[in-house]
Order: sequence, then structure tokens, then C-alpha cells
Amino acid sequence: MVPGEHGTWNVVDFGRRGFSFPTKSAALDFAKNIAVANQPSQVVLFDAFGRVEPVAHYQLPIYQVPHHGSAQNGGSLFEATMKALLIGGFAAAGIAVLGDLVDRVEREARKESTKSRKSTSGTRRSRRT
Amino acid sequence: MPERARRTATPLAVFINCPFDPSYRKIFDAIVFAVCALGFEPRCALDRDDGTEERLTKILELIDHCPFGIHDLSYMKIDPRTRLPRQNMSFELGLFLGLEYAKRDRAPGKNLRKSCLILDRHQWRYRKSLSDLSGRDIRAHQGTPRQAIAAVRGWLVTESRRTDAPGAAFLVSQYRRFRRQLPALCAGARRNVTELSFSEYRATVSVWLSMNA
Repeated sequence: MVPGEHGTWNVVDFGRRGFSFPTKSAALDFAKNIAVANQPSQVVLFDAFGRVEPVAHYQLPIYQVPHHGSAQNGGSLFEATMKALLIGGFAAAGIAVLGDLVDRVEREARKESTKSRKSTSGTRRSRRT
Repeated sequence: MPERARRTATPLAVFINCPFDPSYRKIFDAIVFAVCALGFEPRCALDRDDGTEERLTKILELIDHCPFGIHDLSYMKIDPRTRLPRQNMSFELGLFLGLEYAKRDRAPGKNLRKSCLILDRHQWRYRKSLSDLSGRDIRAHQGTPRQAIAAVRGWLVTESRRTDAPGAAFLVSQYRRFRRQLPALCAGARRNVTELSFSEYRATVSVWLSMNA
């Protein structure tokens, strides 16, 4: 579920098709129906700040974003990059994503990418045999 | 199917004792994906590879912290360059089994139980070199990510008594989708897939799962 302009909410299904709803609860009901019909699956919500919140699970555990991740070892970078790619993909597919959200995740990805480039001269895996 | 109640507890950690050889990486990556996809947290000796801590201490602390362990003995063979056997995996398996035994003995009734999955390329190969493991159920992955994922899933679901775990076929199809998308995701982060550190790979898997399941 992704917020749209003027208080609307979009639901993006497994085929990357977007459906717009005037209220969050209507969008949530629709998203849950899609998820129930396509188990195992889950419903994930993006808030206006680009944060990801899992809201419903069907035959799936809650996936944990690792708490060892940081800008130094890539956790935040990848989270930011993937969010930007996903939101950018929605917008490219014609789904009316809230403009502020698009700008925010892109800024976050650029910031983390810059931080990472400064601090990743030694990120190659160590070898053990 | 009713919506599952949300768990807020920290995910249970799984210690992964596998070779870090590039030729093994396809199995290692599949195991890490399977552990994340089942809602657990993969840990390994590469977690805190900052060079400031003595290696054995770091490994012992990790083993102590993790109630579950996955040990792959498929590199228990003679290194053609050095003509010496590779001992790290069997050594760490011994540490894990020793700690498992010690905890079982010293804290009866407490929830300190440890459990491990022992993997090898072929199921009975270990009998020729590590016969002390006789009586343990060793699972063979035949060198394929698909069978490694199925073995991890079967064992971890049984041992954790988790009821909301997806099936092995679903995990394998998810893993294939993830691998297809990984090069583009890495390109977006200006990296090559082969350059990803363990932490980066784990973060990528976790975020991808949270958005693509």
C-alpha cells in the first residue's frame, strides 16, 4: 500500500497494477483480500516518510530487517536503495505515488550511497576455506 | 486463514558454519536466504569482521548467542594446493556440539536448548572421516541451492515449531525471483553481486523479503 496525492491510497498487486482508494481502510481491506487469495503473502504499507510497515501476514513470518545493518556495513544503504527502486518502479508503472514520498526515498538513497562510498574500501568478503 | 498475530520479539539467531570459499557461495547465499525467509536471523563469523577481536572468542560468543546452528561439512576434503584437510567447519561443529551438551547438562529445565543441522554434499560421506557423528541425522544438499533450502526449511521449522512457515517450493521460487532481481538491485547501489559483504547480502535479503513476499 502506497500513499497517493490528495489523501488517496494505492494498492499495488503482484502484477504491479495499481488501484486507488479514497481512504486507507478501504485500501487495506482490498489489499488484504488480494493477499488472502494469494497465500503465502503479506501486506506491506509505505508511510509518507518512506518507512515500511508490514500490516498483515498470511502463512508467512514477519521478516526482520537486520539490526546489525548500518551505513558502514551496507544495511541502510540497501534498504534505502531498494525502497527507492521499488517506489520509482511504481511511479514508472503509472501508479500515482505521493510526490513527497518519491522525493524522500530518492534523497535517502543518494545520501546512503554517498556515505557508503566513503566507507567501503574494505568490504570484500574475507576468505575461509 | 486468519491473519497471524504479530511477533515483536527479536528473531532467533542461527549460526551458519560454512566455507567462505567463492566456489561455495551459491549454497551459502541460498542458506542465508532460507534462514531470513523463515523469520530467523542468520549470523556467521563474518558478522563482526573488524579485526579487533580474537577470532576464536568471536566464534564462541556467536555460538553461545545462537540457539540454532547450520554446519556444512561439504568442504571436508584435501585442499589441492596445500594437500591438507580443511578443518574449520568440523572444528566449529565440535564447539557447537560441546556447548549444546554443556548447556543441556548445566541448566536442566531452562530453555537453553541448542539444535543444529549438519549438511554435507552426500549423506553418508562423513562416516569415513568423522565417525563420531554416527547417530546424528545428516542431510545432503548434493551441491544444489534448492536442496540446501529444503533441508534448512525442514529442520528449522521442525526445531522451532513454527507454524507460519512457507513451504520449501515457495521458498525456492522466492529465492529464484530474488536472484534474478539481485544484479539490478546491486547496480542501483553501485555494487557487483560478488562484492557484497555478508552484512550487505543479509540486509538485501531481509529488505527484499519484506517488500516482495
